[in-house]
Amino acid sequence: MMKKNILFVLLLMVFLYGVLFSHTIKESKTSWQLLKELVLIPGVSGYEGQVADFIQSRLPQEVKPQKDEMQNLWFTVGSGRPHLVFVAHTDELGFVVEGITPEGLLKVSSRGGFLPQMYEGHAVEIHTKTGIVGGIVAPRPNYFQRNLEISAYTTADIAIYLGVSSQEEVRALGVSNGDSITIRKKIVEFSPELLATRAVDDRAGCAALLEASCRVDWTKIENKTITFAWDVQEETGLFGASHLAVKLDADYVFPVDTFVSSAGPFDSRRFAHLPLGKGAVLRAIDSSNIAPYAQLKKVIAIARANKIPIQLGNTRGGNDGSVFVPHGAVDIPLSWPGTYSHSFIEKIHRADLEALTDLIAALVRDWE
Amino acid sequence: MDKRIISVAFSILVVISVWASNTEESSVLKLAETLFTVPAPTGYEEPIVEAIQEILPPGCRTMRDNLGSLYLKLGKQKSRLAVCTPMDEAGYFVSGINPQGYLRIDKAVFGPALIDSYHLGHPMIVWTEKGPIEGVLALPSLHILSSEVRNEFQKRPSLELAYLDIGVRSEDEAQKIGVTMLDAVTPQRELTRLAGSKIAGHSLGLKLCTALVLDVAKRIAPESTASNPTLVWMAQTKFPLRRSRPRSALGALCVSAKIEAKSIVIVDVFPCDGQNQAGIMIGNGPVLVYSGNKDTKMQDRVQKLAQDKGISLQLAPDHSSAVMNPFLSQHNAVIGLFLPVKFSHTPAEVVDIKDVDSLRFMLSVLLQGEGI
Repeated sequence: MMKKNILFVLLLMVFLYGVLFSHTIKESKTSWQLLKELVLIPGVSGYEGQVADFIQSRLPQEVKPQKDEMQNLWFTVGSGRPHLVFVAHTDELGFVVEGITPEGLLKVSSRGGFLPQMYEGHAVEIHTKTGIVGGIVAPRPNYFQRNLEISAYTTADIAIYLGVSSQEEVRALGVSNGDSITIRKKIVEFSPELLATRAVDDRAGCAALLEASCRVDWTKIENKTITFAWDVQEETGLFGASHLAVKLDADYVFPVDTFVSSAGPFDSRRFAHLPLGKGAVLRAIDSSNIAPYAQLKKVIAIARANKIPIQLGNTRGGNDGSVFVPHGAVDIPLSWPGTYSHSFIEKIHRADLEALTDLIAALVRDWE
Repeated sequence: MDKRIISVAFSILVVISVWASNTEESSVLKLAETLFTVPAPTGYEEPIVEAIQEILPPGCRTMRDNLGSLYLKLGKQKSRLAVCTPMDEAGYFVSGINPQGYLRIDKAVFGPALIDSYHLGHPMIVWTEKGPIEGVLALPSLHILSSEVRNEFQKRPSLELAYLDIGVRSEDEAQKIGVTMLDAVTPQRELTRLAGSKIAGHSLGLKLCTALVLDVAKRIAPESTASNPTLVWMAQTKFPLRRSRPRSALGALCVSAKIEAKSIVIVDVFPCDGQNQAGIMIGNGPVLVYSGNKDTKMQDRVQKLAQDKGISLQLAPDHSSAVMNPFLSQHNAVIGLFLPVKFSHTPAEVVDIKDVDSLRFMLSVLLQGEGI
């Protein structure tokens, strides 16, 4: 009888734990694990729906997410001033089908800036309404020559071979103008702490923001308003952020995106030389913004008080927060150091992503 | 009633025959998939030899020559026929480790001008004695890229720009995880299914040739056949004998000197990219290559065999092959049964499985002694 009672109590405890803490269990994924899931979801600029859906499905239950027609996703908690907006972009680089040649090759336009030659001779995935169709970016016509005068390879040179030889056959596969195209992705895990893959920019930002949203106790937000946003079309001109900047009336905006580090073998170390694995980054100066020094000091103080490793640096490139500045917000970009930006091997260190996640949660909690 | 039974029986027969043909087709593909990720850069063929030996049926006695080619003799009589195929592929090796832990790489085999540029910015594997290590060939970061470096990448992509990042920070760390000089380096590979019966992948043509000969070996070994054939997977076929005219593959030279059979069938890839005879295309059947034969009986018989069996055959009488050339000077009857490949020497060589199937069928019939 005694044994039965103990068993019953144990089972009850397991059941209650499951009911009460199921949400916590759902939240227990680290930003590193989330990153590995997020990078594999296709989301070329203008086609971010799947990424937004994934993030929305993982948000804590107590927040009320909103989505606009562009697929910007956000939630707001609290009231009053200041209004802090944290934003990461869901889109990635890629192509869109612009035409089909009589020989059955796809012609494309690019979404975002990159070296098109990275794609030459490689497998891509065409995301059609009926599913994924495999293709090969055909090498340039004289690719087999031994003594070739190599010319620059541009998006106009790209022709995607699907294994068929007519427009009709292409259409029969379900491929049509406007379908998005991504490289077939592969995650290279150098070690449990270091990986390289496509779309770390800015799925790492999305993952850090998502994980931070699960760590914050939203019931304790007082005397301030916090918005977490995942916006679209950053790579093609900060379009999603521009839309949100009008809508959100922010005092402080914290874009969460790559700090392009010059730690790679080709890069000039005159600037941006922040190593991987040494913590989150305050992207103080870039091509779109100069963060006020007093505000940087405030972030550093919060990081230090929470024992979060943090680095400070300047680099190039724009950030989503910059379009909030004309509306009166202060732009303070948060980052991780990443090498090989806008390639298929964007590299990131786990310690930096976790520090960034901690920093976001600390800023939400401690910023006054 | 009788008609119904006959009709049902006929349907069953049709289903069985389709199933059987699909099973046969998938057996070559399955073998190729097994071999696909096995590294085989020229001079580094041990892993592929081990893979082949593991797949061969028990009781097969193989031998090696000094360059590493693998021979399988079937039957007790003297071989009348030898089927030879390359097993090596273009690849790289570690040629240095810099103080920051980046690996420098080099190659022994040269090909089209663009061959190295495809891999910049893509995942690679270093094959160390401790096991494979993942890495990436570094690219400059786009946002902080100077116009000089951009120009280098666009107009002079070469191994000078190749820094293999394996995620370490020093030479010591690289050595500690097992990297040593001359470890083989290959791209990471994955097969791509294209529309219809086409598939694509790095060095896919060569892997399918290796798999084709292995498949027929599995079917007939260790039984004797009328031709008592010798099957050879050749090493170092991408490396030419210095100053040889016509161009001759070193591995093929060694094999041609060793083989006693008078009739030789070379199984290799045929690039369909405009550099050879116009009109050869994937999906139109295997390519029969037969230039310079003293004895034309075998090529005539192969053509008749294809005709009788309804197999489409493409002809390339004047094709010069560095793998075939050494045999032509030493043997009376040499033909090539080549697999047409689109986008050869790129990371996505495209092959039509219908061609593989036809080639497998032709080889099986030839090895049974028919047509020889």
